[in-house]
Amino acid sequence: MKKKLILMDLGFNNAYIRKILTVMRITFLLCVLGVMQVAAANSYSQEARISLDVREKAVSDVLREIEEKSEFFFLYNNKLIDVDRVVDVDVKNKSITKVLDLLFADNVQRDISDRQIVLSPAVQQDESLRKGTVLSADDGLGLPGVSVVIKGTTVGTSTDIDGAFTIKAEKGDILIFSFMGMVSQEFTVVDTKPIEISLRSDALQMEEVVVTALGISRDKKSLGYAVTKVDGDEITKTKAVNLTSSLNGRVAGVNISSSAGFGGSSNIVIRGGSSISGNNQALFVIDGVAISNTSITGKNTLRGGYEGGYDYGNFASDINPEDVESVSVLKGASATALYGARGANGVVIITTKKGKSRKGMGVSVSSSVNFETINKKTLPNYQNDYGAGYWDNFDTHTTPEGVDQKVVMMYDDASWGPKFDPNLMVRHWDSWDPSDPENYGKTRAWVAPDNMDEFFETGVLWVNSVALDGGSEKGNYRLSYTNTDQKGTMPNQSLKKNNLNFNGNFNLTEKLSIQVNSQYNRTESKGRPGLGYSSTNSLSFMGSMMWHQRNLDFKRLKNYQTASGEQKTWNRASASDPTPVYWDNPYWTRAKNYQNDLRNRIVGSVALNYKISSWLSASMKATTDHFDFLNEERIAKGGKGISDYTKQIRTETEDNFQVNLNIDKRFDEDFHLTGLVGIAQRNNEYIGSTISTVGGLVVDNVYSIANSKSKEIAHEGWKQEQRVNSVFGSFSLGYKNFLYLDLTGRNDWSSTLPSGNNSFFYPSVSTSFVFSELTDLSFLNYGKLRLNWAQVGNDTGISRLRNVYYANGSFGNATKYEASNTINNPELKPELTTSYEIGLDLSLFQNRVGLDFSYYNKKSKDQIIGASIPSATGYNYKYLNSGEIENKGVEIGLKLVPIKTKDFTWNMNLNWSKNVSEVLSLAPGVDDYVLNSNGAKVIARVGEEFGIITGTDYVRDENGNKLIADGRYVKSSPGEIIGKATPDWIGGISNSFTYKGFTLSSLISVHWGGDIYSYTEKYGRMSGVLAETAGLNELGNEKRDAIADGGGVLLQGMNAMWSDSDQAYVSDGTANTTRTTAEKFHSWSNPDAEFMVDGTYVKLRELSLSYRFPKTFFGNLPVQDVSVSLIGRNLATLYKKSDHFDPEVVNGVGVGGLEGGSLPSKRTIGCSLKFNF
Amino acid sequence: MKMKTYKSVLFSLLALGGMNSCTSDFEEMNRDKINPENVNIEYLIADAEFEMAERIVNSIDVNRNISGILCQHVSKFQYIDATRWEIREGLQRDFLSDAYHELVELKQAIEEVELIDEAEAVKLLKYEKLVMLRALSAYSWQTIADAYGSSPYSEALDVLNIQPKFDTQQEIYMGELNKLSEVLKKAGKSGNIFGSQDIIYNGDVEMWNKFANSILLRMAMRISDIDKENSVKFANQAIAGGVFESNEDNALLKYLKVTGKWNPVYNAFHTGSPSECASNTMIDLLKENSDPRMEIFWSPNDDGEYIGNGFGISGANTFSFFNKETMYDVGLDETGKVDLPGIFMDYAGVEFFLAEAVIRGGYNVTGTAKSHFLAGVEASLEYWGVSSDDVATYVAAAGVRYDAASDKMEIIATEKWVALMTQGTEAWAEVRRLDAPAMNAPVGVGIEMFPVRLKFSPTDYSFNRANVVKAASEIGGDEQTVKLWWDIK
Repeated sequence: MKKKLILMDLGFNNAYIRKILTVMRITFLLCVLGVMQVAAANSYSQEARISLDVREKAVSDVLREIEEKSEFFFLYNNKLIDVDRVVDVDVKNKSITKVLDLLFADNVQRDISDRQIVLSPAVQQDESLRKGTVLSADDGLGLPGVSVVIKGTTVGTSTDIDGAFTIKAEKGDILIFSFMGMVSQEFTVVDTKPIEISLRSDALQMEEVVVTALGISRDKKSLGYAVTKVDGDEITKTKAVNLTSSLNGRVAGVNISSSAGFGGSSNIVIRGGSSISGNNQALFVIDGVAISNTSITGKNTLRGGYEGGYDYGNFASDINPEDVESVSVLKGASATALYGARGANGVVIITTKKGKSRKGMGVSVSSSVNFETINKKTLPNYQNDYGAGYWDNFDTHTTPEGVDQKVVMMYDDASWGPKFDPNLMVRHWDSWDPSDPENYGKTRAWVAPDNMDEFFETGVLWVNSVALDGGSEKGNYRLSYTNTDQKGTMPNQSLKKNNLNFNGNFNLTEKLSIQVNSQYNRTESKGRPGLGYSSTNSLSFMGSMMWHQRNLDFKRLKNYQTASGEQKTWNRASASDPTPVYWDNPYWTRAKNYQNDLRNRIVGSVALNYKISSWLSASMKATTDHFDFLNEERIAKGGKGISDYTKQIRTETEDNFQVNLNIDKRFDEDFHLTGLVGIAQRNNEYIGSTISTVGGLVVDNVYSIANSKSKEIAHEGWKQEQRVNSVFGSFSLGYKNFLYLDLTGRNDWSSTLPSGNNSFFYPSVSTSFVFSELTDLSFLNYGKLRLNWAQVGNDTGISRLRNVYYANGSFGNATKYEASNTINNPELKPELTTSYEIGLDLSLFQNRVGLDFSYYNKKSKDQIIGASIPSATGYNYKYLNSGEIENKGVEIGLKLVPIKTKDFTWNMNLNWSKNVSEVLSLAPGVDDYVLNSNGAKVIARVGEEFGIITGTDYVRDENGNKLIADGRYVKSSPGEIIGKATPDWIGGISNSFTYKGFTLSSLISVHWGGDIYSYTEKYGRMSGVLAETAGLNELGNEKRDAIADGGGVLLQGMNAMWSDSDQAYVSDGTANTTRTTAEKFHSWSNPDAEFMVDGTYVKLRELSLSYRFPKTFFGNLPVQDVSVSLIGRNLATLYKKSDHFDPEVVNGVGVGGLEGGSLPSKRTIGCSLKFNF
Repeated sequence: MKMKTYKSVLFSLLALGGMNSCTSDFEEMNRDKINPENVNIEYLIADAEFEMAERIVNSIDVNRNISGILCQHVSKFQYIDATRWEIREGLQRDFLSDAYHELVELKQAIEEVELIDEAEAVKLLKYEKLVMLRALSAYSWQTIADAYGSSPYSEALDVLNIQPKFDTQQEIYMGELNKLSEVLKKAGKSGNIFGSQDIIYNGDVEMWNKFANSILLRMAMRISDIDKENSVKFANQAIAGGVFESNEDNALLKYLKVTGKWNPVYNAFHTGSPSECASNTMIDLLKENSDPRMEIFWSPNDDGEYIGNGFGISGANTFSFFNKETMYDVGLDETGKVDLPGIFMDYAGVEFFLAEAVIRGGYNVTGTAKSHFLAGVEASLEYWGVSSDDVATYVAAAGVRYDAASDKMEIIATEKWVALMTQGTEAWAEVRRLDAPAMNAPVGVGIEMFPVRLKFSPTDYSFNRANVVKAASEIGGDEQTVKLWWDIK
């Protein structure tokens, strides 16, 4: 029978596969309806009634007959179960249990699970054998792996895959049932009846086991450093595409900012920036594989700068959130010392879901759809009173009929023009195209449609995922596939992701096991937004909107080309000349100047473990992370920029090989030693090239390098290799479960450093003291003090030791090579970071209150920086070992369970952290180190906080009044401190309310303080589009009216005069009473300080309502564990101080502090459905 | 726990450690595999010449070099911060850093040539090569000194000293005059050096000798007001050594009709948004003199008129623009003169210096001031392709004006200013030194605000603060209105 064949193999039949497919198909329908009208029913086995009348038949035939008459099916091994025995059976309307009782004696065990019946030989009875089952109180399912120990002895066992156990115990013995994350229970043996125990999960103890450096699972109480664990469920709750951004607000001390770009970067900085050289990004490790978090973003994009560019995201975004079991964030150097150099910025360890030991195969399916819209409140706040032009004037056009028409100043990209007047009819930009008779020659009202938001569309994000898993004592596996399909919020924008993930763990022999993890990711996107300013090619929509005309009607802009395909822009040169003056029509840009990219990535590892003895094992692990990435960027002919095609190809490979010996030994009752020693080698390879056409394209719409006008194409190539050899060891000694001492050491040899200086050693010491074990205070459930010290080294980038020359094309018959802009340095030393940390963990009042407190201090010295140097050296940068930076801070995590009843639970999680940094010294001869600049600079300066913003400030008198000369604020020389890029503190509040199957949860994240230098504000004021450039002044008159008419702006401050003796402006003692025209006041000759904006925000980051159906709800349907959720991300900004952009937004991965052309942030609303088979 | 096990663990660790210290291939692995550590200096020379032209020729770029607007050859009708004499920080930074970048390349070339053994100096044209390299260096240093005044000089271009002190403009001038003068004395006047890698003279030593002497003359004449003795000394050496004698000698970078090798001003118009137009200073003067260069430099507007825009005024583009056929194009097509040569220095300019030298007296110049003046005027007209009839008419009229002028220096300066069209960097220096023709003040801005120098680079305030602050105080404040050393009037 084919039914049985499949059943024997996999544990379910093809009817199930059909059902899976059907269910998958209707998944979404269910989700949207949110209701499922399925009658609650008892399980099939309890309801089904069987009638049989057979004589002298083999048991196997009887079973087959039952299968034919019912939906039951049997699973057994005919070598173990005697089915050839001949029996007579005559039953009417009996339950299956009764029928089986007739067929089999006690020596055959019958396990009935719904329709599936497993027959197996019963365990030999023994007088002292006690049988039982351990169930989870949460879902009533058997709990495998629960430790069952007779109190006061070392006799024990653990439960099998069904939660069943057998233990030799006498009457009066006390059994202790314990399982990580569950409240332990004791049970006194009284008789031989089967024991049924249900264990309740312990909200506060859930985090007991955490994954630490090199993937070592540790009991949290034994750790002398801070580790925060976030569950995969938390991360996928609201279906953020980039895993990094879903950590925002969840972990104390972790500062995350995200790009509003499509598939853009998320920036993750743990405990403040300690690396001056720029990369403060945490290391990502997935199942023991350190993966590349390369972020491809043009330098100018980071700055919100002139040329703009695209943000290709941080590549840790390849991690599929659906596969994540948990995330451990290792913050301090002690926690990360075993990772060597790359752990210096903290490590995010991701553990993926593994197969569970179970019968048959588990199938879990999840599906979600999200709708994304822009948050209009994060668009700049525009004025709607004045339109195109630089003064109150229209052009005039005389029609052939001799009628004079007023014409909008189309070539001006500013809105200092005439006041709007709905009764005034004027010729607009789209009235000059004869191929558009509807608009040609027509006039329209002079008004502000104020509909820029209509440029943005509703984005749709689908995430569908299916995972198969299974396992036995032989091993386990999990295979998953996730498909992400996203349509963006701007025209012509899409992203498709496919993730395939396999995890397997097999015991080859009793002593030898193998683990295999592999992932394949393919990410394809099109139409990422141009960011920044990019005035030369107007790729950035928001950049172009710093300079526009408030009379633009976005509905009309959609009509971006003539019948013959020529561009129609609002910024045409004149009535007769449609050439764009400064800006393309944004719809033209989106349709024609799009980019696309494709990334294929493989991450994999193979590990072998060999148990040498009960306390010693050896393991070997090989891992690889490889991706190839292609991107293509286009600028079409007929637009503002020179037509162009640029193609970049890059591959990155990292291979690691590691061998270690692991020790786990108890010396007696009191001492427990664990540890490892090992060696490792890491190899990195980076190969790539960027090729662009030069001078434009020859043939329109053909995007290839061969179509370049100049045959001397622009090419940049690189090929880099790096190797790091390491030896490491780690030992942890525990005494009586309350005192722990950890020692780790690692030595690295890096190929990037000069031969005499390429070896560096990192030691760490940490202790943990669980003082609650020594006291008997009723309110104190758990208390731990931890202390640690560590030193971490770091190497530098590749090829930074020797100077090189760069090919610089040709001129006629001459060939040019140019000197590098940067002086390399053959005398670099490794960087060194020393840190210590003190922490306290408390759990109080029956675990209703939990506190996690840390204070840390880290000092980084000899950091290798590409320091800006005076150009008089002939160069602009030099690699140097820099001075010292200190970061210290406090992190507080508070967990509360304010209400907990049988049906209702309220969990609350708060975290707060503050980091204070100081640049103690820089390299000799370096005063400032520029981290980022665009007008204002984000820098490191000796004696100041890391990441201060400098530029020109106001000049003030001794009372703090601003000085004013010639109707403008007097500007200081550049280099004054005008703000800081880092926040004062960050925090998060998450709440979850559970009532029966319903869970309502929310996450609020707070980013308090910090400043941003805003180009949006600078240019938007200059061009007269922002709200503050219009409206009324303090006299109640229009600001833009002539000063003689009471218009203009009165700058508050003192009049300045030049003092020859001070060589500076000083106050002349009189307050300014002279008004300045609005246009003059808003010009860019203001001090940079005028464009600083407070970066504070409070966001309702996540809100979700989910319902988990009770187990019985679906009755005889095969689905289990069904939950549906309504989810929302970034629903509201509860508080912010910036008027014109979302302060969270960054362009790419960087230090922040500068903004220009920020896209509005997106709101996501959706729903998801999850279920298992 | 058995000691044996401990020992074996320890032993394996040591063995592994030993293996790890095998790092002999690390150095090779870390080498740059794409870019060379050493190149022949002739590749650097071509680069330095090209980059110097990019910096000097494009003198109307508000982010790189704005001297063509400051000297009022050109005005703007949009983005008028430049014509309001508001100079961007990026320009203060980049004009300087680009100059030092050329200089470091030249320095590396000089250092290598100086290694040539004296025994082989003649055969390998050591001093002829040094004349070329020193001449280019002096040229570049003069642009720095003329723009900023003080700047790092004696401690500059040293990778080990990243906070070089500033030297005064006088120190830079005297240093370069002496170096160029010394090497000129040792060099021969014929042969070929670097061949086609020299994109100015194709390696012609004779031409380089003339150019080097012309640079020596230019620097010497610049200091004529402040240090007559040295001015005379170096100018006389230059004249005796042989300066430019015709337009054939002009130091030009002949741009190519090849995409990407265009004149940078054309390139800027082609890729950016042209907001430059004719200035009223220029148009008014050309009109007044019925100058035949009017239609070569400019195109009339749609109404057929030559209109120059004032300064500090924005408005619709109803002004005159560069003439498409002979000058740069302001449109987006490629019909303009993409290969208009960039001028480092020309014969006309030399003749105006000689005229000036005669008037000042004490210089060894043959001929009258007027004859040199007219030779300069004629050379400029011829260079720009004015027909010979028009040349004769204009030269005659110039002669009449010269005779009538009470202040001969003023008329020389005025004609020179026109002749320096497209050489904004030099024209701005000469306007400051000779104070003619009169500059127009932007609307609402006093003439006393005329920029007579660039402020120090903002980069120096960040990375060389002590030295730049000291230098600022020594020159009387880092303001664009503080006059340079040689600018005493």
